[in-house]
Order: sequence, then structure tokens, then C-alpha cells
Amino acid sequence: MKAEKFSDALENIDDRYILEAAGQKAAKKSVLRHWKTWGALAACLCVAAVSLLAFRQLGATQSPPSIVQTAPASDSPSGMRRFMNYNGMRYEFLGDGAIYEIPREELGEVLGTLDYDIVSDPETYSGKDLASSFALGGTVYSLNGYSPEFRLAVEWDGSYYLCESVAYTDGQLLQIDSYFSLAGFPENIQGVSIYDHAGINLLDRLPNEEIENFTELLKGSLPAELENEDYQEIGRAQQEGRSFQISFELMDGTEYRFYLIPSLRISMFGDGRYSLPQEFCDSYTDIFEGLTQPEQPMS
Amino acid sequence: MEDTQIIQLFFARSEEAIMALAEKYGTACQKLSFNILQDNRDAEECVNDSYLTVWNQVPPAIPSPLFAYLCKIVRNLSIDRYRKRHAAKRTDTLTVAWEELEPFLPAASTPEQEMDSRQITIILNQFLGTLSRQDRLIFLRRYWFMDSYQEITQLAGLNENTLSVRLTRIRKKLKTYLQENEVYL
Repeated sequence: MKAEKFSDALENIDDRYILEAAGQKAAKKSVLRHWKTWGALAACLCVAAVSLLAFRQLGATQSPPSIVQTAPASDSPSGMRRFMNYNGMRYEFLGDGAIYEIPREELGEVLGTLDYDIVSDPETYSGKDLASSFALGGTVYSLNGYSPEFRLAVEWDGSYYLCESVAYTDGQLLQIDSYFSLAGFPENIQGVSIYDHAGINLLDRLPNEEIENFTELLKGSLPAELENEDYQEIGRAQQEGRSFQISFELMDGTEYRFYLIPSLRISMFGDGRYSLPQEFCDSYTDIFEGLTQPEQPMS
Repeated sequence: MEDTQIIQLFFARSEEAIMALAEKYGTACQKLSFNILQDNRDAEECVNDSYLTVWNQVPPAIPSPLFAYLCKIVRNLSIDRYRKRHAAKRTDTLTVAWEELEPFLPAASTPEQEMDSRQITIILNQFLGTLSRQDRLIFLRRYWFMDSYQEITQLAGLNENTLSVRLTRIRKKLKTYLQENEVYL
């Protein structure tokens, strides 16, 4: 039966489509009953958003995006997160291995080859430099305009991937103050968007004049020492719509994403959990309190 | 509990990992399996088998996102069980969904012409990207999650007739896309 074979192939479609469909179902009480009404409103908002973007593009002085995602990630046969190690840092493949078009002039020097397969022997290789769970044999490049401690590029089988540091291989967390400086924040941020926890529904955008202050205050995030109860509290906040995914839209067309749970004073950058500075909460909690998001699919 | 915390429990080989997984995702998994098997007891067994599969795969696997990874296992085990149980007689939801799709899937005239399942997945990802968000949701709720028409109408705020027309249109679009990309099954 053709449909059975089709169904087998359909099973392994991109995770984001599964999450999108699952999430929308969970949201039916709050959103979908009023689909038509909200659809009309959304259409108006889309027109407004497109107009705003067009206006911003016209008024912008920076160059157009130079790095463009050209294909989503394929399914991971091992189910393992796609990451690699370089110079004592762990890097995650952006978009879990999405393919990017990176202009040749943006690529810097060759830093090495991904020689060690973490999937085959996680215990031996998970902390080793140039070990990877993806794109084995790929060439690691620095990126012009970025510190190698923030982002790197990998060329593999003629396609380019972006990798972003998330922690140190010895388990040490990123220091947000210096990390933001390495990343060039806030100078290379052209917009800040606030999404629901799943990162699917856009809830709000930060006024552009707030970007600098928002980023400066976030720099004060310090590694949090969390107990089991704190993790459970974080899990509850994520399910109850109190966790938000934030996107820094960068000048080169890419995004930097992280999570905020203002009600718990928690921020999450890379693989770390951090305590938000009081000053940040005093200044921005109000913005988040006014935002409601659909229930998460896991609830 | 957060996904990373659950995965840490799996790595620590703590049985709490299974409990945490069941607490967080159990309801969604049970619903997905029930949609396929139409039997609560079978669905429960499949979901428990899925937890065991996760237990055996993590570590070394570090699934991300955990929910989609788990759903794929549940769907796969449920369809396997369905195939065994219904080898002789097929009359329920999954068969109906498959029969809807069957006429819209281009057939291979020779075995050599059949495309590899992984390549089909790549093309399906591209096809899904061409659909509007609402069409993609309708399509996936019907053919991935095996929801009934009634469930989707409630979900999408459409009446059954409109939904039926919409699904037919999406299937036609699928057929054209598969033919253009020389996908034969």
C-alpha cells in the first residue's frame, strides 16, 4: 500500500512541524475557537508588520542580511542534539543543523576538521576538541565579524552550517557579560522580538529605543545555583506560559535566541541557567506580565 | 520539569526519568496512540513501550526537542502494533486516513522507480514548507496525529464540509508536488 510507505516517510518530518501542529492543538481553547475573528485581525497586523518592516528597511543604513538560512535541518537519525567542540567550548549547530548561505568573504581562517564522532563513543569524545555529533569530517571556519568564542561556521558536503557556543566542555557556564561583548551586543542587534516558550507565536516586539538598555541590564545575569525544586518551578513556569523565548535579530540576518522567565528572575543562555538582575526585572517585568501565550503542547 | 532535567535523569539511570516523562507528556502520547489503535489498553501498552525505548536510547542519545522525539516513537510503535493486529482486516481510523491518501500518491511502475523513504521525507519537509500554516496544521493533524474530522473541525473552527474540501485540495496539491519531484511509491 503506497499510503503506508508514505506514512513511514511522513513520520520523520521536521520536528518543528510536529511541535507546531501539537502546540496549536493545545491552544485550541484560547485561540482557535476564534480563528476567523483573530484571522482577520492577524491579517491587519501582518499588513502593519510588513509595512513597518518595509519602513525600517527603507530607513535602515546597515547592509542587507548577508547570512541566509536556505534549508531547515534534516532529521537526526541518532536523536542526539547536534553539537561540536572547539578550543574548550561546546557549540550547538544553529537550527539543529539548518543550512545557511554564507558569502565566501564572511568566512575566515580554517580552524580544523571535525574528526571525532561523539555519537559512536559519547564517553570518550563528548569533551574532546573537534569532536562532533553531526557533520563529521566537516571543516571548521572562523567567521569574519564574529569572535570564534561566539560563533563558527562548518562546511560539510558543500553546505554551510552555523555553530554557536553554549558552554565550556568542562561544564563551566558562559559569563554573560563577556559573552555579550564577544557577540557584539547590543551594537549588532537591529530588533528584539518576544515569542512564546515554543518560539512559534510572536507576542510582542521591544521598542527599538529600549534595545540598548534591555541588553545592558541582561548582561548582569549571573549563573544560578538551582535546587531540584527550582527546576520543577521552571518546568511549571514553562507549562503555564510564564517562560518566553527572546530573539535578538542581528544585522547579518541571523538571530540569537534565549529564554526569560521574569516571574522567577531566571534567564537561560546556551546550556546555562542564570539569575536576572533585580534592575532588569524592575524595568521589564511589566512587559511580560501583559503577554499571554497558548498552553505548551506538553501540558 | 524541564526537558534537560528529564534527560539528566535518564543519564543518571534514575527511574524518576520515566515518571517525569509520563507526567509531562503522557496525556499527549496516549491520545496519539489511541488515535491510531482506537483501544485504550493497547495505547497504554504502546506508550509504556515508548518510555522503555527512550530509556534504552538515552543515553547516548540526547533528544532535542524531547517531545517530538517521543511522539515519533509512539507513532511508530502504535502503527507497528496496528499492522500486526489488523493484518487481515482493516476498518478503522488509520485505514480510513490511508485510503484517503492512496489515490493521491503517484505509483512507481517498477521497483527501481520507488524513491527511498529518507528522500521522500526531505521532499515532504519542502512540501510542508509551501503550505499555509493552517493547511499544514490540518494536514498534520489528520495524517500525522490521525485526528478525526470531528476533532479537526473543533480545532480549526471549520465545518466538516469545508474541512473535507480543504483536505482534498491539500491532497491534490501534494500529488502535484510529488509528481513534479518525481516521487513514486
